[in-house]
Amino acid sequence: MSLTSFQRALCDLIASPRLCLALRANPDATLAPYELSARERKRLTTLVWQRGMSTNCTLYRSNRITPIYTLLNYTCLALGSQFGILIDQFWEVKDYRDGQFKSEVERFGIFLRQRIANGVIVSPFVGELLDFELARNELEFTPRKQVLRTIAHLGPPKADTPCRLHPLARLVRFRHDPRVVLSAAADGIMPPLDLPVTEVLVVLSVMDGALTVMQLAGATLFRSDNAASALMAWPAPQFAPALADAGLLVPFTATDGAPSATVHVV
Amino acid sequence: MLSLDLSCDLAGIGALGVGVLHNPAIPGLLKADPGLVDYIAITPDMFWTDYGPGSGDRFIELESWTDFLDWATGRLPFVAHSIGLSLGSAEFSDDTYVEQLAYWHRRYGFLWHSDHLSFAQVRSASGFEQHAGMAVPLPFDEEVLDMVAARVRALRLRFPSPFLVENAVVYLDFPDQDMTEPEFLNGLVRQGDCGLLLDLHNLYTNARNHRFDASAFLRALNLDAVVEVHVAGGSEFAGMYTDSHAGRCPEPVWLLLEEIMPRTPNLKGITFEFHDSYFPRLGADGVQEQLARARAIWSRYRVQ
Repeated sequence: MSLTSFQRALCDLIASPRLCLALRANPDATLAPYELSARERKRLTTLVWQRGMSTNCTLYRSNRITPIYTLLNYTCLALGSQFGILIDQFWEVKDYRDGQFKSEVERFGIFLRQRIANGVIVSPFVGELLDFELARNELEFTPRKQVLRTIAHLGPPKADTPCRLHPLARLVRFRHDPRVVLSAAADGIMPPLDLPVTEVLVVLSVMDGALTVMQLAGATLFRSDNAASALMAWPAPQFAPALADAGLLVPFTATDGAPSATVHVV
Repeated sequence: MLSLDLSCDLAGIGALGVGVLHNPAIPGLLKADPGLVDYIAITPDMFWTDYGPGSGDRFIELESWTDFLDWATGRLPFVAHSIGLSLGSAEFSDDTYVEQLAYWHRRYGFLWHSDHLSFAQVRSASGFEQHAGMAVPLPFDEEVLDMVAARVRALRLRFPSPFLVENAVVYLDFPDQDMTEPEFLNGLVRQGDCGLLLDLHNLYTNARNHRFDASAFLRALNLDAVVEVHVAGGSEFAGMYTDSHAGRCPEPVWLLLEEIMPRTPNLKGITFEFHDSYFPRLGADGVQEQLARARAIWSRYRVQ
């Protein structure tokens, strides 16, 4: 138990410069939650004064920020000066169960969506860039050949065939012109805050290998998490011609299960 | 001295030469010139997304990465260098992950398997597994040695090829340890029946930061157990010299390599590591130059 507790204390210290400072100031109170031998206690109280502990704390932060900054680069850019505060709050949650880039980024995405819903996020572009980057990441981590094998037997849908979105495609709703927002982000800047609001649906696809991004003509469709209508959950090509024309609908099969997101036709 | 089992296992593996640790820059380099290296070291964990214990399809492979392994199969041999065994965790076991590694052994025929003398998984107060966010070093104590050796012995039975443990980079200085690092590593070789992956850049980093004599370290180490050597570059960061794999290998590391070559009879390969984020600065020429440097040293001592 002692070694387990020692390792937990060491990791807690590496993850929190504030805890290191607390240990320097008040060793007994700071180490009270841990079951430690006298030697382990002495080690920890010594380590927090070493330069190497600062290095470890910095490396920890660097390691954890890397997946977020790499895979949610545009989102981080849009967050601007709020990013530092939010990332500290995110790390306070202490739900870091693995070192997987994908799951870390998805957890941060959930965290940010809560903050967006609560009105904490200042930039109007964060939501759509977050949705865009999460969709892109999801596709890039999808085993494309395996997916194509599993749907190879499905023929093209008829006009009234219940369908679902192609598993190698995602829909993202932008509230501003996606060309302006994405090209600004690619240049490392954000568009002006008074950019006109408009609903635009963007399709991301890796069906042909490389990622393609295209804007669907007209705001005829939007994505919603409200699965209220079975018909709309499985749109037939006749109700979603823009998706059908782009080859983005595949026939629904009984093994598909419930939709994770419903495509509504308006 | 090595155990009879390990000696026999190693006897079946020819000396390979010079290799490189796979990163996203490697496929382009090797497809242009497969003769650049004699083997490829891969970190299997990087080739899949792990959805965690209990997930149905837990390991989803990244096809763009495994495509390269399919290309390289038959052209170059592979060795495995995992990052997820968390050998030093006081409480951790992940049988499904070990089985996944064993499956990859069967699939890609890794000539040996290595992981790090550190831990990355820790059990939280509420009983959940937490990731440490980095490879956390271990104090060189009897208790830790017994624990790691037992884990290594168990792993040896799961993989069909020799198991190596890599010496860690350590920025902390644990007071009052039971033994020195070479004593710990020698003990691990004896008790764990394993070989060593001697990372000379880790050694150089530790010696530079903690001001000790790397050559004295090497004199105290059982060099018979060294099967693979890592060389890499580093950089100053956060007040210390770090093992960042930031490009070219520093001159003192090449000198350490020269120093051990005549005294490592079981050495099978020298692996150059660099982080792909530094590739634009290092360039293909830089990688080729580092590999050529390693090959020149290898050839001087191994090729008659």
